[in-house]
Amino acid sequence: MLKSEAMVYDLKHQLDLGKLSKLDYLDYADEEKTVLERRSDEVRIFFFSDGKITAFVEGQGFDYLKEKIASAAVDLVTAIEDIKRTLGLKFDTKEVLSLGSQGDIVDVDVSVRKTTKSSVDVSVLRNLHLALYDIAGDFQAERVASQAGELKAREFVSSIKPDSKDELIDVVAKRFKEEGIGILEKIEGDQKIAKDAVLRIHESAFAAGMPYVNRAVCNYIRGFLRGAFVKFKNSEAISVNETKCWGTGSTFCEFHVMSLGG
Amino acid sequence: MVKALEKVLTGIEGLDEMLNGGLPRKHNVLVMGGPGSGKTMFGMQYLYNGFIKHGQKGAYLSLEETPERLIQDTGQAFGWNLKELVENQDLFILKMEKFNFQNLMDMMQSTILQQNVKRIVIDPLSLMHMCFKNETEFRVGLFNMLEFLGQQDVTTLLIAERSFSERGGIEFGLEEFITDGVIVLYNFTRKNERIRALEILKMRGTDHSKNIYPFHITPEGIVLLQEELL
Ligand SMILES: Nc1ncnc2c1ncn2[C@@H]1O[C@H](COP(=O)(O)OP(=O)(O)OP(=O)(O)O)[C@@H](O)[C@H]1O
Ligand SMILES: [Mg+2]
Repeated sequence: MLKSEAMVYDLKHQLDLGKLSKLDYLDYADEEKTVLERRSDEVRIFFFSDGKITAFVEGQGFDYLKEKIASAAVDLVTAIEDIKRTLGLKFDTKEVLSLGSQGDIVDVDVSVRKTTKSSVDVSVLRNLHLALYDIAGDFQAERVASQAGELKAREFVSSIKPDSKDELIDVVAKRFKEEGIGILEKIEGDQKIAKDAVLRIHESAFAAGMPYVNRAVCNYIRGFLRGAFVKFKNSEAISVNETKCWGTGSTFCEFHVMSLGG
Repeated sequence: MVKALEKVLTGIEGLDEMLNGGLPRKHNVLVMGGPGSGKTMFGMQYLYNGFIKHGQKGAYLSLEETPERLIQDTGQAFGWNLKELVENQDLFILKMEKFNFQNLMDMMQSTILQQNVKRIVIDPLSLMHMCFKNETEFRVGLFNMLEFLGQQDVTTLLIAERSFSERGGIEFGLEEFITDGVIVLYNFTRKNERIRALEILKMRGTDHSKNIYPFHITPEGIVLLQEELL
C-alpha cells in the first residue's frame, strides 16, 4: 500500500499550490502537536501547534491530494495565513482543546450547489473555514476571512480597472463563478436600503446547504465585495452587510453595498 | 534591561511634556469629558498634528457628527485644512450610517491594514452601545475591539461622554478600567467663569504628570497652560 503523503501549509511562508512541500503523513502525525482535526469525506486536515496545517487522504499520494484540494481552498488558506500574521493572531492550543472541538467532523451537504461547477472541493474549503471559527474564535474568524476577501478584491480590481459599476459587478461575478465561490446576481434594490448595490449570491461556497446557525457566515464574500467597491470608488467609506444567508435561514445570500456620507 | 516604551507625540502644546514624551505607542487611551469639554477638538487635533507634524495617517471613526460638520466646525475654526488631508487620503473621516459593529470593524481593519493608518479616534465610544443588543454583548465587542487594536501598530483615542462638574464626581465605568490610559477634560465653573482643564488619570507603562492643568482653546487649537497649576 502506498504510504499516505501529506500536504503541509507552513504558516511562516507564503505558499502557492506549486510550492507546497510534501512529506509523509506519518512523519508529521505527532499527537502532541495536534490542535484540531477536520475531516471531509476523504480529506483529513490537521492543525498543529507549531503553525503548520497538513492535509492528507488515507492511502493516497501527493498528486491525488493536490487534485482534491483545489486552488480556491488554497487561496483562502494562503490569504488567511497572511492575514493571521499581519493581525498577530495566535492560535491558543489550550483554549481550543478545552473547547473540545478536537475531532469534529462536519458533514457538508453541498448537493444544493447544482450549477456551480469548479475544481473547488467545497467540503474542504468549508471545513477550513469552520475550523477557523473553532481555533481563533468568532470575532477573529470573521476578521480574518473578511480581510482575506478584501485583499484579494483590491488586487483584482486594481489589475482590471473597471470603468463602470456594471462592469465591476460583471467581472466580480465572472471571478466568483470561475472560482466556484457562487453565482452572483444583481438585484434592482431599494435605493434607500442600499445606495450602491443589492447583490445576491446563490450557492455560496461558504454557506449553501448549511443549517441555521443564527449568523451570516460569508465573511470572505462580504470582504471581497467591500474591497472591490473601495477600490472602484477610491473611498474607504463603504459598508457591506450580509443581510441574508443560509446561516440565518435563507436559501441564498444577499449583500447590501452602501457608500457612506462624506 | 527594560526597553523604554516608544511614544507617539500628540503635538498638543504642553500635553506631550505631561506625558513624558507622548502617548505610549500601540496603546488605547480613553478621553473623557462632559458636553462641550473639547473632546472632539482634542481628537481631531491629535490626527491633524499626527499627519502635519509627524507624517502619520489617521482615521476618525465618527458615530455622531458627519464628515462635513467635522471638517467645517472643527477644522476651519483653527485653519486646519482637513478637506485637503481627506482628499489626499492622509486622513479618513468615516461616519457610520447605521450602528453596525461589523461595519465599524471592517473600516477600522481596512484603514489600518490597507491604508497604513497609525492613529485612530473613535467618537463617541458611548454610541457604540447602539451596535449591541445588551450590555454584555457591548462588553464582549469592546474587549474584542481593544484586543484587535492592541495587535496592530496603531495608537487609539476612544472618546467618552461623562457628565461631571467637579473632580471627584466621576463614576467609573468598564471603559476606564480596560483601556491603557485615561485623560479627563474638565469644564468647571468658578466664580461665574468657565475653566477648562485636563488631567491624566492613568497611563500604563509610563510616568506622567499628576497635576491638573488648565487649557485654552486658541486659534491653533488646544494649548495647555503648564505654569498655571489648578
Ligand atoms: N474657535 C473656537 N475658539 C474657542 N473655543 C471654541 C472654538 N470652537 C469651539 N470652541 C469651544 O469648544 C467647544 C466644543 O468643543 P468640542 O465639540 O470638541 O466638544 P465635545 O466635548 O466634543 O462636545 P460634545 O459633547 O458636544 O461632543 C464649544 O462648546 C466651544 O466652547
Ligand atoms: Mg464631540
